[in-house]
Amino acid sequence: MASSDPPRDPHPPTTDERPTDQQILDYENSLRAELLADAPFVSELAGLEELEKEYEGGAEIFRKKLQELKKDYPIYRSIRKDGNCFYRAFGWRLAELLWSPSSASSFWHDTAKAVLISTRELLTSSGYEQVMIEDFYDTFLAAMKLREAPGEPTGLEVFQSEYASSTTICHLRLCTGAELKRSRDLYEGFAEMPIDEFVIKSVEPMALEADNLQISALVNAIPLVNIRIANLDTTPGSINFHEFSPMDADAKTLPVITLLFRPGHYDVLYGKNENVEK
Amino acid sequence: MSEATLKRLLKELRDSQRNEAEYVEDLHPVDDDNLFEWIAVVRGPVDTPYDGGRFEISIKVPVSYPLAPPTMNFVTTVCHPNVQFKTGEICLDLLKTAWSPAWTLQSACSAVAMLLGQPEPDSPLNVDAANILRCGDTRAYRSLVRMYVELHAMGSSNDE
Repeated sequence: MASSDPPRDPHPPTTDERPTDQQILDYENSLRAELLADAPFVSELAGLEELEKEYEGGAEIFRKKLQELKKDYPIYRSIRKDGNCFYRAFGWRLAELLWSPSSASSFWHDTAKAVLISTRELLTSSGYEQVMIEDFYDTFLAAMKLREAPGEPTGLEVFQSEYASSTTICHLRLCTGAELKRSRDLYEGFAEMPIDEFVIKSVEPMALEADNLQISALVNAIPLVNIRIANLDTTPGSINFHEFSPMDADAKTLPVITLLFRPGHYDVLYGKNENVEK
Repeated sequence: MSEATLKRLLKELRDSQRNEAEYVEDLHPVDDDNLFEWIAVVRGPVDTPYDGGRFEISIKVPVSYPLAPPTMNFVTTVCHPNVQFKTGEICLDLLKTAWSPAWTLQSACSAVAMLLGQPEPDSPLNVDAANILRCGDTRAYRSLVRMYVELHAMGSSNDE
């Protein structure tokens, strides 16, 4: 360090004007928070016409695909665009299916209870410490079990509260990470890096979007639903769907969650005959 | 939210007293009434020029912890490409964008100690240290680091 002598005072006031990394990060976060301030984590239901309005002046291909999509999926629910949308959409839709009165006495509902409870074991056996995951697990289970009673918060209110919503996402991220580690042989070839590194870099941090690998892993970690993803992109032809099903479950007997994907973002779609939480 | 944060911090306090983490010699709240400010002492990893050094870290916990990361700063003067020489600010993605609530104060301290042995000269906060390393002059780098370790991080009285 030829350019400067060791300072005598180890902590003199800094003279350089450069903001610290922390200040830069805080600034970025405040900008992002401002942009998102009005968007609820999970929105009220809306007709697909609302979505069509966004594309009114846009490319013909989007309008055509939305027209087509609307025939089978006339309703959607937008999810906040904060990088957690896949996990939030999944958690919300799973909860909605569990709350639905029509599923209450079904075989699926009983299986679901057991599977959700077993996620604690899934996490601890993958090396997550129980003390640290308990809070997320407890809030997650409470959100999934929720039954609306007079005076109690509605499902939507729970998912719109930051703590419950974020904690649920965190639990789902850890389940995804645990599944990736548990069946690493299956996933490693797709990760382009060792699985443990992938989990730390691309699964656990909040606000990092899920890609195909995370989606496959989450479907297997919580093998209760099939996921169908409608891709709204510019490829010619009709709208295409990606399907994800758990490997070790009889996929045909499981409910389907449908999501709408636009690059970098997921929202929830509802079919004509689906029961929806108001 | 603060209630959940307190519960979690209490758990961490109990857990850190029971279990030791690699390189973390000490970790405790500054005083018993305030769980939002902690002090840690980490050891320099062996086989690095930081070996034998003891480094104090001040930790500030935000009310949204563990959803948001703690802020950590070296109190002990550290010569390292990713540590601001004067302020002790630490450049580690885990403490910024890559934070996950699955980390704890203790495991984050371990990670900071490990960063000492694994400098990332491409995102420097101490450009001088980083340049020496980028030139490939590991001998100069090691002896420079060693000098500061012996000056500030060895013996009982650290910086004072």
